[in-house]
Amino acid sequence: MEIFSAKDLTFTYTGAEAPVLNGVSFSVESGAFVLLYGASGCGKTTLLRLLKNEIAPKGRRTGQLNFDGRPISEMPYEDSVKNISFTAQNPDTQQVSEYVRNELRFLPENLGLSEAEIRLKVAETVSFFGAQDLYNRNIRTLSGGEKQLVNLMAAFVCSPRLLLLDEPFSMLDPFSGERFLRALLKLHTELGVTVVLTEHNIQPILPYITQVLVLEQGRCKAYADADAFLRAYPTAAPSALIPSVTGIAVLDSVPKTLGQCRTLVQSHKLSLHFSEPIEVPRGEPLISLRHASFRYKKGSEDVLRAVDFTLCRGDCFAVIGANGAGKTTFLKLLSGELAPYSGKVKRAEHLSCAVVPQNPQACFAFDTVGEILNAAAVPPTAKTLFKLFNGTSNPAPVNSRVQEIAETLGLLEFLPRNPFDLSAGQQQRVAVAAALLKDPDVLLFDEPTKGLDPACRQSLCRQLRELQEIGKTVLFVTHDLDFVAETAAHCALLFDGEFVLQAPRRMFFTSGTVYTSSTAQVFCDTDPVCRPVSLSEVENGKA
Amino acid sequence: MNINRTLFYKLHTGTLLWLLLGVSVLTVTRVQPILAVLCVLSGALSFLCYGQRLELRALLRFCLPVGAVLVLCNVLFSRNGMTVLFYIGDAAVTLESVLYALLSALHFTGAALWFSFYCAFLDADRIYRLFSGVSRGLAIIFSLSMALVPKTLQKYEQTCAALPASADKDNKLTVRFLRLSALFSWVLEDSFQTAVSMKARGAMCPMCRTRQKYRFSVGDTAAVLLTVGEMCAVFLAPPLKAEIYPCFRPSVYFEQAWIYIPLAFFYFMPCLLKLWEVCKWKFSVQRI
Repeated sequence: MEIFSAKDLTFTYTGAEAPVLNGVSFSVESGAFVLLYGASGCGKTTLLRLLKNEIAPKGRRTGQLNFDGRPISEMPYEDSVKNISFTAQNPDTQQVSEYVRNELRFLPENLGLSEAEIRLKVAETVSFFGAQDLYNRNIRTLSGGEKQLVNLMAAFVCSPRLLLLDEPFSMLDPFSGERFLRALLKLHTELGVTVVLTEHNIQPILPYITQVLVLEQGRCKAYADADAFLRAYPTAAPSALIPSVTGIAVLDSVPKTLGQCRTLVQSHKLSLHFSEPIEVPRGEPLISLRHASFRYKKGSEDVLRAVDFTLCRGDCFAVIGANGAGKTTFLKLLSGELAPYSGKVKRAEHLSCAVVPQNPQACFAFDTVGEILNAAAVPPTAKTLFKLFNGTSNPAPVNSRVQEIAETLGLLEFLPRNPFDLSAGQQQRVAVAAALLKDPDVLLFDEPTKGLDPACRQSLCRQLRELQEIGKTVLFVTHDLDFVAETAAHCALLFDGEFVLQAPRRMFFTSGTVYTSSTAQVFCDTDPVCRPVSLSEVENGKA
Repeated sequence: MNINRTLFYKLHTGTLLWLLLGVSVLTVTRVQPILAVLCVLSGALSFLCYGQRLELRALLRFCLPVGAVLVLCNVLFSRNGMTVLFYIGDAAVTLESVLYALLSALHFTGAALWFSFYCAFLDADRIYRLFSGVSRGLAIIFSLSMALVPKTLQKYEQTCAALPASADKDNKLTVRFLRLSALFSWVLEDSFQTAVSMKARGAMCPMCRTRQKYRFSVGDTAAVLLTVGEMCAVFLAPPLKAEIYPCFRPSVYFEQAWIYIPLAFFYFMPCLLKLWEVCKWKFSVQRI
């Protein structure tokens, strides 16, 4: 039974000339698990929000968009609130209350339910999700994954028929994401809730997807089942890409999990050879930490304990670890923002560092992307700042370097636009470009791939390699193990405030079984010496 | 300690507000050294009773230097008083000015202690639920504004890290402007996202109503009646009756010292409730 459908849906934002959605048509059956796939800014979030009338963006809309056979725009407010739920990308900005128990009451209270009904619905929801441990917690004390789970519970509490999720995994580490995915699948499989979500990292959800709608510059490029989608877009997930680059012919269904992919690869007995040495030469030390310990408050527990670490010139270093392992604190020690209470931090003379923050919004001090990049390239004086804030600014590139970086990161078309109007992935690129324009000796990235689509990840990967080639030093902390496998030369695993492993990339990814890349997991039975750990190695090894 | 499970937390939001108001008004409108001392002692003891030792220490670290500055300023600029202690140049430093400044410092510390102590109990959710019956929109704005303060401070730290200042003086100033600009845009943008989330969950639903989760219990009635009666008794009692209006001259009632007993009861109510809870639990355990 069809739950909702779109026919020739076109949408143009107020003030914009080109439509963001152009003639999109599709229909979704009840109980389906639909993925909206496409590059950053292709109109995925706009489409999701159009499906929920009360948060639909302002603009001109033509075509049909129906829910249960009637136009969504004519749905009564209560029906829309009750039947269609929405969870946004950023887990931090969605809560209204201070405590989880009150957050869960918000929706049923708004629907005017009685106290007895509210209590029952909240109790059922908390029990269903097995979230009794969160019920009495203050939301501020929750991790990103827990907050996103609370957002899902708060959206689900009145049993909606359709659940809309906008990149729900993009800000979660893989292990927090797993708990959220389990909860989402429970909703989908046990209660038959229709799920429509956007996501870039689709590997974990691939086995459950029934339909994929591919959007490209606002147009519906394909609407097919997961198998057909993976045949047409093998780059979307490693499990589909590995057979593709190794030349393995997929006769039946395309592998949707890394396990299926491993079985397929094993059956073909591939022989791969590498010339990359295990040991990678390193330059002179730039920043070194000796037995550095750090805690935020006197009397509290150490976040970092007696850490020994050296960052050398020309390094491309990745620090990996779960949420709360101390990665961001470590980055702050390196940048000099924090100082250890014991141990030493030694920096090379006249060393300049630039930090790309986890939340790119933290560096958006101007109205347009062009001004942000210009200010990063040529720091404004008090006078120029006054001019800028008085509206006499110019978003055009101030010099060729701004032009070059903006072009490399695909930001040229966004220069006159407000950074807050961009998608999360585009915002991340602006922050990266601003850091690159400061031309520092050391670039420190905090979760650089958060919210980036595969094409942007590739572009960032290339950019980091180029930086390494011209002698820049790069360090990033991330959860994205596949990105690390493609980019970094050295890796370190931070666990409970200590480095448990620091090694060159290949050694790092061949010595672990959990903290390893998708490629290394697929080829785990291969001899570690010739085991590929990244997709580019698979391609090279094949040759 | 999880204060959410304590008897004091379970009191109605209105009762808690009434008690905070009572303590503040009583202390500030009476220039009474003994009341000021009671206020500071009971505030500090309340922090300790509810396991907030670190918070108390942090607060005293702020209040004590401010109090010291207050004393110093009063001593340096006030020439009132009869008992000259010593001279700084030609200016006399009097015992009265020192004592009056100490009293002001105690008032400041007491007010800060009590306000911070109640802040732990009066969270944004409770304020929202208390006032949403009157005006739901205003209650949401008020409670979200309360929650916005810690969030903004957290964001400011991140903004400082993302836009670091160099040693150059001119640059420092511009970077501060840039940080504020980035912070305001970010906070505003996040507020829009929160508003979208609220709308998606029916915040503007015509049939919406907030259920009063915290009921006005027998304990609340008892607490309010007790404090009202006590206040009446205190204010109508001979020593205070004459000073029904705020007075600015320090005085101590040595002859009617009994008056401080019910007032002490009022000030130490959070501690007494905690004591009652502990005793009740101990007796229950013994019975088991």
